[in-house]
Amino acid sequence: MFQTIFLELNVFLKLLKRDLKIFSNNAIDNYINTMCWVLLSLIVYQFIMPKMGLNFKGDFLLVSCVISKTFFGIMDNVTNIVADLGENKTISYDMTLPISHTLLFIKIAISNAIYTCLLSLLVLPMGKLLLWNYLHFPHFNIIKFFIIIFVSSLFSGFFSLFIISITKSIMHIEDIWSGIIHPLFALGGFNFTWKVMLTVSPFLAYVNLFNPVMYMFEGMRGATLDPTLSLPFWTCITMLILFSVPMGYIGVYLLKKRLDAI
Amino acid sequence: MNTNFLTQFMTFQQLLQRDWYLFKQTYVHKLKMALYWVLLSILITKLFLPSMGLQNYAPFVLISSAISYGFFIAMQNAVTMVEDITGNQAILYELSLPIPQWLIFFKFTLSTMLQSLIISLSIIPFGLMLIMDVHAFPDFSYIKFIAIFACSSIFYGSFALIFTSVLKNMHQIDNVWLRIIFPLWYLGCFQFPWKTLYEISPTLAYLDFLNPLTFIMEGGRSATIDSAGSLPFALCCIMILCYAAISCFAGIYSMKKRLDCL
Repeated sequence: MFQTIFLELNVFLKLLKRDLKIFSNNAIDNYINTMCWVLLSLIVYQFIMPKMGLNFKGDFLLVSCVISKTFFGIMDNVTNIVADLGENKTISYDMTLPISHTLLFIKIAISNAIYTCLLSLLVLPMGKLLLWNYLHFPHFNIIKFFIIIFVSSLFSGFFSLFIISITKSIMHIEDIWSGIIHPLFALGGFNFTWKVMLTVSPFLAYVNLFNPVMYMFEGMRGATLDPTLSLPFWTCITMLILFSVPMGYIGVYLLKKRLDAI
Repeated sequence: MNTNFLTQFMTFQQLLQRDWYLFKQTYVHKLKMALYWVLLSILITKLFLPSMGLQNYAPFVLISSAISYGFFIAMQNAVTMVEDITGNQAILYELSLPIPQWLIFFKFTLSTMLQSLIISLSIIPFGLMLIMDVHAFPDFSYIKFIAIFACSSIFYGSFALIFTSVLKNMHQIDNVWLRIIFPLWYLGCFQFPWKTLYEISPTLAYLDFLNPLTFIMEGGRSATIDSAGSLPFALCCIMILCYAAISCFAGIYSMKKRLDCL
């Protein structure tokens, strides 16, 4: 029995290593793309938008960008996997390997989580390096920062599994973007806090407690900006872990059904 | 000679008609996708951004989103074209028809232009309904409004060709999106008026004249919300048409080269 577990673990690690190698091949391109996006967003929100009256600046925006990358980062792999499921089905090879199918799907989630974690980890340092004197984080807590990135990535990984399982074909990816990803992201609080939402519309604010992306944004603000602006940090962490479980469970269940897995 | 011209004209018309037929089938779906994005952005701007310091910003977002949406329609069409060129190559059939090959690319431009125009114009009434303010567009001029949407759509149609020729394969989509499309859109005065940029940095503001989207956004605002504070309307239209002509010629040239046309 131990031999089987050891073998499965070995295959699991080998597959993860393969995915990481693919990531490292595209890493430079990915980081350049991320940097372009961070730089432009920072320029607009640090220098231009405050002139229009906006009362937050680059520091607020930069931490939102970290979470945006954590959340959106999964979509590259989601698109690739959905395309693969519809055409080449290279996943069929992975399914013949000596590893349980549940573990294989969990590997997809973990792999996506690592991918998105590696991408988003550099967003804050990149932004800080670009606009050194303009960005200040007096409440920055490095341990909380790593924890929220790790947990958010883990959530995103399992969420990606859920998205893969419900996307019928590559033609439907746009529907997923417009119908699920963008609403969750936009209402999650990219440019406003949950407390602002509560002041404006308590009903919407309470409904938004069911939006996991909101906890990602709030948790990240709790770790880097003034904690009084956001929801309690540990509540965000707990909620994200709680949301990860059903996402992973439903994702694995639907994928097993779709691929006639054992 | 007249018969030849007539045949070419008929073929061109039939091809355009086919595209129109296909577009009609997907119109509702495309509009739905556009509305998800635009209406959500307006809702957030109207409800929450005033608390963050941005007062009466919803009409600004509506006109910017509606007039720039054609840019994304152009991108979608370009991606579909690239997918075809790198895959099934159905375009080879069109290139074998009794019609000059450059006309096939011009047909693509025209078809994209019409699609952009229809979707962009359709967004406006829904957005206005959500804003629920009869004075949302205080400087509204019907003629200017139609003229700027028509000019911007002509540009988007032409730009789709440039985009198709730049995008070598589907793997490059992220690079092109984040390094070309996003900067053009984000720095093209989508969220701020050109005047604000000028107050912050005249050099950057003048450099922004190299970005056709600056004229599109400014023209859109001049026709609806702020004719005095925007760039002169006629200048915007002329510049957009100049950029469209350059894009059209350059696009047709690159596409002919890419597909080894005569």
